[in-house]
Amino acid sequence: MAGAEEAGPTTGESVGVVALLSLTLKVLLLPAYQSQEFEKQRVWMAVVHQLSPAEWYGSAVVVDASNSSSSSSSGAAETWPLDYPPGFAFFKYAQSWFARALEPDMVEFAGGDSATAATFQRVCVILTDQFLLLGILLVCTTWPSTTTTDMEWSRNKVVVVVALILFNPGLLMVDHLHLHFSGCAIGFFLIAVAFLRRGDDFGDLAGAWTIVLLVMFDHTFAPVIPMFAIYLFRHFCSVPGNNTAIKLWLGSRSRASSTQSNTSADGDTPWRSRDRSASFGDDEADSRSSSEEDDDDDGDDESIESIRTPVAPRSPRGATRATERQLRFRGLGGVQEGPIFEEDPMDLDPGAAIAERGPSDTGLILQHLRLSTTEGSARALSSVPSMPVMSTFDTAGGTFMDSPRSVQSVQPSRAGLGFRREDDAAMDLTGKPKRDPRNKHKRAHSEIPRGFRLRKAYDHFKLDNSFKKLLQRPRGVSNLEISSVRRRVGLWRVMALLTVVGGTLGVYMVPFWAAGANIEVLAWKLYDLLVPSGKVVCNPYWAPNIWALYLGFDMLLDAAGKHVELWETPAVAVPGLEPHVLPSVQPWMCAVCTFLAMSPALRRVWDYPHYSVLLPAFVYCMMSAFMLGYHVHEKAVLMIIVPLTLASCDSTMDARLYLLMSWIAHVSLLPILETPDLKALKPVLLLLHCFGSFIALDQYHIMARRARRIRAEPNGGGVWLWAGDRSYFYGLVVTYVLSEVVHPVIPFVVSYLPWESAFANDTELQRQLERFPVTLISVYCAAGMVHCWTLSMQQLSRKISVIESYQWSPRHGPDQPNEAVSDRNPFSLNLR
Amino acid sequence: MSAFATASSPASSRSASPREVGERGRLAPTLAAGVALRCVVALGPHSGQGTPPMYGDYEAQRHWMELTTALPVRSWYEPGPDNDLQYWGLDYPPLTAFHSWLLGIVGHGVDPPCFALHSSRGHESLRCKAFLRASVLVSDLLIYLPGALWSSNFFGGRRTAQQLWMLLPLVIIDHGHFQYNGVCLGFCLAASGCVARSWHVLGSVFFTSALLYKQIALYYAPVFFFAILGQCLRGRNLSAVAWGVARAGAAVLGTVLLLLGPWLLGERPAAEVGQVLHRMPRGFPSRGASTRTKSPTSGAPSPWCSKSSASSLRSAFLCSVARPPCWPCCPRPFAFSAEPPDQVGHGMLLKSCQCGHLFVPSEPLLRGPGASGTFAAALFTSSMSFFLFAFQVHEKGVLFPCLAFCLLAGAAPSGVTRKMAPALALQFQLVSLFSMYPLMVKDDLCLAYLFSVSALLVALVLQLGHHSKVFWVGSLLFPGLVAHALHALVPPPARYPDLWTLLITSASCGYFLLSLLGVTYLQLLGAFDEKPKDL
Repeated sequence: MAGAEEAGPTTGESVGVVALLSLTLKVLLLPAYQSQEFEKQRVWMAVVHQLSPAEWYGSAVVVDASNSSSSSSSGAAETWPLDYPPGFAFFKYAQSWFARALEPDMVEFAGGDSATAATFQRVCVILTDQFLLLGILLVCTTWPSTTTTDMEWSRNKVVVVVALILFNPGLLMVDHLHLHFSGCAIGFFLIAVAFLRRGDDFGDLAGAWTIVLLVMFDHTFAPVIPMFAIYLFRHFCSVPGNNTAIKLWLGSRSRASSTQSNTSADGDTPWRSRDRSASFGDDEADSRSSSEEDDDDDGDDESIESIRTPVAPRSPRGATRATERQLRFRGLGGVQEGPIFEEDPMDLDPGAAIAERGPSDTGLILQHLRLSTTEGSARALSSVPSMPVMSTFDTAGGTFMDSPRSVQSVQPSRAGLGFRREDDAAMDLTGKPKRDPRNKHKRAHSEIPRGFRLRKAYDHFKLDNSFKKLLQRPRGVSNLEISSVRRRVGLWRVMALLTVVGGTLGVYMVPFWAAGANIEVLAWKLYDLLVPSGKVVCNPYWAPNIWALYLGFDMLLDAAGKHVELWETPAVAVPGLEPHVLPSVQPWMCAVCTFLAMSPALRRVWDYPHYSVLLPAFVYCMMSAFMLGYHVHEKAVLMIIVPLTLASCDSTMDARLYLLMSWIAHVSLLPILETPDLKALKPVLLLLHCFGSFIALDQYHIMARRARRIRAEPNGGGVWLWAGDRSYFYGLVVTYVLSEVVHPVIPFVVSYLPWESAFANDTELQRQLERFPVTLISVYCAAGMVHCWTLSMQQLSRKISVIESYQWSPRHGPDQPNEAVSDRNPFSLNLR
Repeated sequence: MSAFATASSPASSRSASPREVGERGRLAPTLAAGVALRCVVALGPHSGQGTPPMYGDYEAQRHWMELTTALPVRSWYEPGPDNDLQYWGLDYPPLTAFHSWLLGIVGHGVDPPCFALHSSRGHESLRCKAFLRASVLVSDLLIYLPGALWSSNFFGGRRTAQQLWMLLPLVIIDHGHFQYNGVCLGFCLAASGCVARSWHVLGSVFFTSALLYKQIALYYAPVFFFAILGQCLRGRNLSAVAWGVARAGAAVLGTVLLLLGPWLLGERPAAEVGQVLHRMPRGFPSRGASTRTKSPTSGAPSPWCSKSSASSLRSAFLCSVARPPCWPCCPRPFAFSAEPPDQVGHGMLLKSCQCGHLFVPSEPLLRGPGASGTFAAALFTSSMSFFLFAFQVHEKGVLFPCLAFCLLAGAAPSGVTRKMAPALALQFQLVSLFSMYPLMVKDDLCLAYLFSVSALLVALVLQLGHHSKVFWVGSLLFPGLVAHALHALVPPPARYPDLWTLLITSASCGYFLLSLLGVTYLQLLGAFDEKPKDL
């Protein structure tokens, strides 16, 4: 290679290249076929352009029916009723003005489809798709950036994730071929996640606001509202309670901790004298708890000095404050200065330490080394106090996830994108303001985003004290610590949240109200979008969920019943979409089932309202909604896959879940596109995705493990698909070939067979044969999706177990060490 | 035992050496990416879409399928009530006709109305389009891809195979504009693989097949002729030489006889074969007559255009676009024939240059055991000089030098050439695309063009180191952008409506001339003759 000696492209360049290529690829898809969706979306544009807001959702919403002028003239609008929430309608309204400027015919009811209209809509999709890129980048800025290695990995992660999402065949098929705006919606979701992952008040409020916008744009996200509500309630609205028991208990703890840290100062090797939880979970946190002011302190000695001073409550008021402080700086939200181990990290031989300590603490040791070596530079970055983020190891799965344990207070936004900033203060640390370009690879930790305006505005906002004073909440309070202890609901905070959410919703209602709509009826209409009463449980394409399995089982029973004549099958209104034998499914059943299925995740979010739980919990909840929802659209699976992509770089287990799920989901999406010119493109895109995603994630994980010097497993540390997964995948290939290759030639073959006439006369058989591919693919994929569902639950509990293992748990009392969580959880930290 | 003894043994050992495994990359993703790229490009419009009465190359291919399946073999090339030669009469050699016949048979099973005799003229249905597009893809997969894999062992290994498979100008012409060049090029690649392995007979068969698929393969003919002859002449004694020549000759003759068999077995073999050959004069590049002029010499960046533009702009416009719509219908002589004799004099001069040039690269092939680089360089100079100096050149002719340049870049042995070779190959592809831009505009393939150019630019940036990036990319990008901006934004002067097209073609013609001179110079120095050093 010509560029072997020089450093490779920076992350910014790589992301730019990937974005450019995907953009041009999407532009290339412009002349593809036009689905019915084009006409539908065009009619919606006409509806919102021609009618007043009161009539957008049908004339029933209008208070005075005689007022409605043109509702009778809109036959097309009756054919395609607007079935998206008001936010989408407003978006269509804005779009319709551009459309009208381009071609006035486009916003007429009987406009017909022209090439211009199709191209215009596709270009709109491509443009709004840029929200997706923005969302990914914003989420990436919240990834850990404490150390050089963190940043290096985060930067690699950014490229992998951006490439996987922007070239996601599902998005290409659903958005850019079939015409939906799901990329834009997912982009909004990612922006919300990026806000929430900031973990502070501004982030919570902005996240709540974005979620409202999101749900009003695309109601596919509505089922996860309870999850976000619980998170916000626990994370934003709750403040530490003034609990006497905790006070007393904390008093005893601070004494204990002071003695402990004195002991360790005597030269006793910390990790030999104490078990992991003691050395990592408790006394560290307590030691650090005294120094809120040490945020900007650079001297290790001073911080160690301050550790040794026990903090004793002096007065009741003071006791409360001390309690709060201690809570604040324990574990999650706390800021820890100085080395975790008191020996000089450079003297330690990692190999010997690991051998002595056993493999279970490999991660901790390495982490400690990594942390200590880059401490100075990392601290220099922390000129602005902000959300602490840190990376933790999960040695079992090779996990690299951000966990609640904070080490340094560093600007999180500087993590992901390796933009260079020449004038940054951190550069001065190296003593070389002008660097030799050949040493580019040596300055990983100082590659910091240049002029990230949103971030700057946010910093400015954060420094503004008036906002802080308004919401009387100590900053950086650890939610985990007090999660199981009683908490107090901050009334002001509840009101602030309600104001944001309700205000936004109110703004949405203003145009309808001004146009004279009956808000109550409108609300019921919108509710009907969520729980469609007039529809059947499965959509015509049979989204691969539990109900597809249900219907498949029903088909089997039906066939069996016909042969054995056990029962007679009644005719149903919609053949193929409603069960013949089994009882039919009602919307409320689906809702109850969904909520029940979600409840474990909701419980966990209630217990651990931390932003690192957010994404896995979302994946599980969305998965439940998809698996059990009523009349689910297949594209809803994209709302799971794209967030899952962000997690796929965390560990090999996550990567496995992502790979399985994306492969299955994309196969299940294929029947959407039926036209002949896409017959070849579909499987090739899918194949390319399979190759690309596997290779990218495999290589990434191998590299990440090698960088962490984690012993490679037999597969070299890459993604490992289990034998069951692989055999399922082969079955998937067979299923696809059966339905896409074999099925179309069946009539062709049959026409040469002697019993052709018998076949031609059997309309029932022909009808079944016609539905064969959809049924086969959906049922087979549904089985795989159930597997993924359980895997997503596993991932959620795994991440929570990591969090648990690093936090003090009140269940065990103050002086007992936290017992290993790994004993309960098969996917634990222990390698034993 | 391979022919290119000096070069091939290290090349083959390199492909097996474990050191290179990382650099080699995995082939399967590239294959899948290439197929996806072809599918995506195929979504776009084809040549002559919705432009009656003559449509374009797409209609020609479809018409041939209709014709060959409906008529008996011997009347394929004959004018008749069912065979209107003025409407896309079959004017490619017999192998194309057989290929069309095969596809037509399958097509009748897929979409019968698309291939019905007479009634299907100008038939444009989605199903039919999907079928035809898929047929190009399958032909590529069955012929071009094995050819690329087969030959790449001797021209730089898998990286060359990947580059050949992702050859963007070819993808755009075949899958956007709609043609079956991949088949012809695949046969040529297979032939070069065989020649590199000293399999003269098979090589001759493959190359003759390529020639009988499209006569444009003549661009490569001198090289293959001299390479095979040179290998035969290296025999131990006279009888071995004679035996080698005889075998190769027999292979060529046998292939020709086999493919012309249906006509030879007729009642009047001479007349019928004459009829067949008469139908394809335009492919023989040195002949001036042009019967099928559907896509005129218009944009082809040959010095004919540039040179005459220097002397008389008016004549240049005769050879550039802006034909009246009836132009494709009426056979007319090449524009220069109508010009004053001094123009023809220029032509003769340049043609003699070309003829002289053809033998320069071929000489080392005769001289002794060559390297694969010598062979590839000879392929490049031969096809490039044909492309630049021949009459009646189609823009797609640049595919042949482009392919040869890919092989050359893979086989470049050492020193500066080896370091710069991948970047130069990408650059050459870029300029080839640029030279085809007028065709892209005509066929409405600008989206695919945009995609390809940006992909190539990105690849070029990644390939080049940091320091040379600005210079290389800038030097290409700036003139290109200026030309495109002029072409798109500024209306050309009324007197010279094709000024901007001419600008594009002459700019790329200059680049091609430079590349030709450069490669010839290096070849005369013997830069390609040595074996790779660093392996």
